[in-house]
Amino acid sequence: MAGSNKAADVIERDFRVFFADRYMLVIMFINFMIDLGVSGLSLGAMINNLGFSYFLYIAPGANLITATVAAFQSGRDVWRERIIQDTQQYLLTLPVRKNVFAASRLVSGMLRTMVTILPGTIVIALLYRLTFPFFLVGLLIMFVYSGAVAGLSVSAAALANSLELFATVRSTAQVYLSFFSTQFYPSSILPPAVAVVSAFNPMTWAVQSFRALQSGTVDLPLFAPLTGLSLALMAVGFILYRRTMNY
Amino acid sequence: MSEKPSTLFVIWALIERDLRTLVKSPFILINRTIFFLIQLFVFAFLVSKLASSLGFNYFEFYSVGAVVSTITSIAFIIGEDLFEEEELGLLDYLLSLPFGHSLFVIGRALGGAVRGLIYVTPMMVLVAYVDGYFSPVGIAGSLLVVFVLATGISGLSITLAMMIRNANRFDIVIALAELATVRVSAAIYPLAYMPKVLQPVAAYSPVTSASDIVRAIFLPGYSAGIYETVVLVLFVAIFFGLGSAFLFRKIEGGRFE
Repeated sequence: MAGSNKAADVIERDFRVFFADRYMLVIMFINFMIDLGVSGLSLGAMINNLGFSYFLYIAPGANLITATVAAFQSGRDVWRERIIQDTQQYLLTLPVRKNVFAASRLVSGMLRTMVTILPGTIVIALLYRLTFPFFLVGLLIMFVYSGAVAGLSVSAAALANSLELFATVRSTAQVYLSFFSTQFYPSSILPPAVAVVSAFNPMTWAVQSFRALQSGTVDLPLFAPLTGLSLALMAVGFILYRRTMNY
Repeated sequence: MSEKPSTLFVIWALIERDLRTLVKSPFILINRTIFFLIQLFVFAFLVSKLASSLGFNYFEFYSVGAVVSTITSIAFIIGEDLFEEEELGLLDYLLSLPFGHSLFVIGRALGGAVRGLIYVTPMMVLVAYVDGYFSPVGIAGSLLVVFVLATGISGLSITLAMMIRNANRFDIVIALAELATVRVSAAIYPLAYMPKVLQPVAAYSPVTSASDIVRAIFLPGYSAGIYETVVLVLFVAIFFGLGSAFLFRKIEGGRFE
């Protein structure tokens, strides 16, 4: 069997696991809507002196956070196989090269994330009144960002030997992505130390790229750091996951 | 066979066991502490700069909400513990111990609340200091309020852990429950600024009641009274009952008692 077919089989298996509980997608969308429709609208009503809509400003962040949660669900599957179900050794006996297997898990994490955030991305596109080509660019931004969070989640799954540690890494990543980025506030008001940290945060570049779409521009210079960070985090995830396969 | 253990002994044993679990989970403690400090000194500080045109100090408002939302999120952990115990087969053993399932729910809910209380006490003191409130009696009263809230949230979390079988779904549902209880409340923004359709729901939230009572104690210009107390107590009573009923159904497959 060709390598690409085997990768497709691994991804298909992950999707079967993912779709085993379809309510999850609904629940994730409700999660997003609470973030956007409750917190977003409330904060937007409170902050109305900036000369622009604060609600629209923070809206893409809600979708990016949902993407983070979805990516960590994939990581949790990897972690469960390794620690709870003890099926990783069996999976590694299948006729798939370990490198292909590890890379496929990352890609399936990204694709699962994309399926989860598709409704949210449509909602944001409607709020931003994006044309179809710009909507596709929005999806591309989400896809690149999902690589970063899939890398983080697989890293957490590879490093954590207990649920407690996995949950801790997950919430630390979410805090870092949310509060040390420009998700809630413009970079101009960030304290210098936070501004430095936020420059190394994929959320910063993803949320700003998405906001730029609202003004009818594709800000390519924002793509470069986002892509660079995503590739770096995916590489870290790949290396750490691959290390767990050496017995 | 030896005598059946007394109720108080059982409750204490269950609480002690949950406290031991907390001590063995330093990552969670460190993580939540850092999260709280970041919420307060990064998020609240920066957002209150943006919300400077409001007629009140948003940083102070948020500081109380941050403690209440933190204890809410810690109280939810007890359900995660129960779910993990169920997955590992440990729950069946615990439920075979010689005491009733209601006592088990009470003990675990109180265990969840006590460890939440131990955890947020330094945060409450820090917030009181930051907000310029220094009465030990008032701070103790505020801790009692969040303890009552945490007991109810623990009951809710136990109920969810007993209702859901799938690990991934439990993970998402518990995150959703945590998000909904904190966000659809006046913990982090005033009711008046919430979407109109949600205001009546948020007004009945126990998280709103707990936040309002603590704000009334700490901050000038805020008030709370009997209504908020009744909402809190009702919430605790309902989820003690539900948690107990679902555990009973799990053990016996029988009707709600």
